[in-house]
Amino acid sequence: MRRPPSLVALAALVLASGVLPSGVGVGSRARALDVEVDSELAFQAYEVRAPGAVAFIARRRFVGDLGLALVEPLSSPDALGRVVRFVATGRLRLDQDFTDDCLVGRDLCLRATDAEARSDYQPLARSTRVDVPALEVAVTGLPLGAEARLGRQLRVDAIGLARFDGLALALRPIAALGARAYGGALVRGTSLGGSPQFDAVGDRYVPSEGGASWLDPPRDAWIVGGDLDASLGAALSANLAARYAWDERGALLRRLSLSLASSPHELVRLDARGVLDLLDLTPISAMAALEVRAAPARLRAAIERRVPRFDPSTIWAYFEASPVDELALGARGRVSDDLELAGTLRGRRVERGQGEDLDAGIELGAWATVAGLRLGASGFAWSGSLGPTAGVALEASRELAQRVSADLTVSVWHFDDPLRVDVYGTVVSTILGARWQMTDESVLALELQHAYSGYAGHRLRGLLTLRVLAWR
Amino acid sequence: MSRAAPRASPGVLFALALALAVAALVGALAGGAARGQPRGGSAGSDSGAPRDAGRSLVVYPAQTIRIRMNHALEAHATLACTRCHERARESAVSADSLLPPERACAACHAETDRDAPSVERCGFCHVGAGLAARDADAASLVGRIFIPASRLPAPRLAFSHRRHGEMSGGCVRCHAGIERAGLGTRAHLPTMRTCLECHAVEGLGDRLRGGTSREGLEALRCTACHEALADGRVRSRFAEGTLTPPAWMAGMEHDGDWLVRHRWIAADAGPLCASCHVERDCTACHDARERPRRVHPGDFLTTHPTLARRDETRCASCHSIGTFCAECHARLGLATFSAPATRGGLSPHPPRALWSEGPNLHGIEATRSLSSCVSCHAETDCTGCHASGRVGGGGVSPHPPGFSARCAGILDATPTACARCHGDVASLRARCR
Repeated sequence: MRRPPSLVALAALVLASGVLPSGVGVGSRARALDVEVDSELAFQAYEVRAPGAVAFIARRRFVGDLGLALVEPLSSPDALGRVVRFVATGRLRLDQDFTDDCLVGRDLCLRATDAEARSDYQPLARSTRVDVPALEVAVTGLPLGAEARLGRQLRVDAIGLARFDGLALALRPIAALGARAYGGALVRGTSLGGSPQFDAVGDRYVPSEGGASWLDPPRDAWIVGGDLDASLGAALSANLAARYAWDERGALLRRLSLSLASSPHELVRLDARGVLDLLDLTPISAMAALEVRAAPARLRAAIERRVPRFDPSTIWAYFEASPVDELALGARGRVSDDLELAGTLRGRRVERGQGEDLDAGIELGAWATVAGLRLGASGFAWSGSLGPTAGVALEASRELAQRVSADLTVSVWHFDDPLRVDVYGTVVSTILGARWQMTDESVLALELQHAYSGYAGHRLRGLLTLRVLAWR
Repeated sequence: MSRAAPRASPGVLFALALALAVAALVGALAGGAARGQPRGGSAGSDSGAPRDAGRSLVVYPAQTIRIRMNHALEAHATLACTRCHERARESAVSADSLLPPERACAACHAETDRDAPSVERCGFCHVGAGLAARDADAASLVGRIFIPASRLPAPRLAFSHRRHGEMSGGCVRCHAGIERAGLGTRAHLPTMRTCLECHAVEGLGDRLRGGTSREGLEALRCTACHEALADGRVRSRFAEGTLTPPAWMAGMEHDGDWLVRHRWIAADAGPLCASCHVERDCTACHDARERPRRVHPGDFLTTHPTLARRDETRCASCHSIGTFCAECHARLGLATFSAPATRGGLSPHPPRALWSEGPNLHGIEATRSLSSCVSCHAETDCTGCHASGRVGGGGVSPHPPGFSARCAGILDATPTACARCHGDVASLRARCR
């Protein structure tokens, strides 16, 4: 299928954009209008095979990312340095696959996609994807701590992430009290991983005669929400957030969260957070943590409950899914300027009908700097209902020359799952990385990875990344 | 349909090349380590950073001080600081060099005769003074004596000594310990906590109630002290590294646990995070565009099933089980809805007698990690047994205990999912209380 010329032009623009900013450099920062250009280009090459399967994915992928921000001060700094600013932000991304996916012989096992052809619709099999993850204008620094954002934007709170086209308003009349509200159309299909934070799962259809399945294209969905935060200084701060999302079939999400934090003493911090699913009044996430900073160490005890959730438009949302409780006791400390140690004990309990699963594990790590060579050793061991698992990783990195560094990581993991004796065993991987900070604004990084396991054989992966950030 | 041509040969070659490169790197690392010299002057540690009680190398870049000085010496300790650091009173920016000029020393110490300098005389104050080499920089010479230059990079802070001159407690309130120290180093520069003894900072939970500082000042913004970018964010990327929050700040220490902890902090302290970060910093990972090694260690393609079973909510923070996972498994022939030609013969499940019959392990595994099931199965794989008899299913309820007592709200909100297993939603309403 011939690609639309506009898409190719767009792709060329993103490609070129990765190179242009590196020559731009940093100019005067005193101009009234400031422009930031950032770009990241990455090329990945690797192959994915599954044991026993005839298909594989020979991945040769180019990912380009171009961001542009314009900042126009609308006022002079006040006595505290506050400035009213107009900010316009846009971002363009390109994913381009250069190779065929899932070859069986010379045929694609799933045909290339054409979004218009419903029965062939495979969102992740498209060879070219161009999207706009951000496009917004904002006015910040207004009186009473007000700010307004209009356009495609991201919302982050205890309920999760959401990308939407709409309006967000914020107000902070006094330092101890703030409120935000937002609403608009949910943006889907902008996440490579199809993150549920951004992509509510569509319906999957499997033809009765076999062959390729497909997903419904995302439906129009809407979101509104807001949050309120209040602070009584270090003694207590609280945040209450709510979010509601729906499409024409009904509610996608109705959630409420409450977070509390307190630092009654400068060495102690207490946190407690919970998220309630209003669809069935289930607390789906809860956490409490106590942190004590007794120099030079930081001790942390945390207990957390997670209840798996699925998209309400799927039947799985209403299956029995066991809550997972996890207790973690950890310590991390800097023994000297050149040696840092960390360790965590974890216990995990899963409620399961009449019974329960129990697991326990330990994680240990040490990082040291010896004559300019940064060394690290970390490992974990885990046992219980999930099967014994253990791993160690050794890492070393060093600045080889000014602005050039190299690193090496070797890890050995062992999995022993009694239910899957055929597919688990020992995995050894080696990662070789190099990083060249070409200028203050640009970095070139290379990563080569080799891994071997008895059942999957050799795996190779290469990654080349150019990252550029420049203000004009 | 024939199988794809084997590709083992290039892989083996690549592995060999990689092994050679690794060997070369190990050699380079070892050799480099042997040659490596610590930076940061006489007070340096193995890390190259001075032993400075944790002061940021980004805020206070490493110094090289080639001056001999003893602040604790009684003759020095009894003097007012500004007697020697005479520019401190009027300094308005942190880039000002406040090192005493030679004349400040000469008020008590006899001034060096510049026409007849000696190594002994110059070396009394200047560490490393010696006879100049032929190619010595003329700017470093006094006569034929080479005087090594000190390097004191400007702190990356906005600070006015002049505005703080009248502060109670004097200079040592910020430069704590200098009165007992020999040489004044980075270790005697104030930390952020020192500043917060008087100032409150917006968004930090306002350690002094009401958002005002002890001195009655309004809370400061981060950029009142830190370098700002054009959009008002704190500049955090520098050649020396990245500026990260200190350990005590609102649970925000970006340490080894931060990858796991940050979701809680970012959820509540979004505006504080936005002091340094932009949305791209979130979406770079959460949109699954990048594949950070910290998140996906080792050979993650092989190890991910076990980790996913252990903590599926972490996977779901970037990946959709129903699309990303299922899509890849489908294309590799692992899913039940894979194209028939791609399916391999290896089942990840135990024998049928254990899995779906007898002890029915699949039910246990499904409640334990339903995501693992969803990553390979379509809804129709479940409805065969779990849908009601009216729509051709086996009628085995997958719902949790007590579900009928709270399903009315779900039925109202998303009836289509209910209809997939129960068919007639109207009759279901009577059963859902």
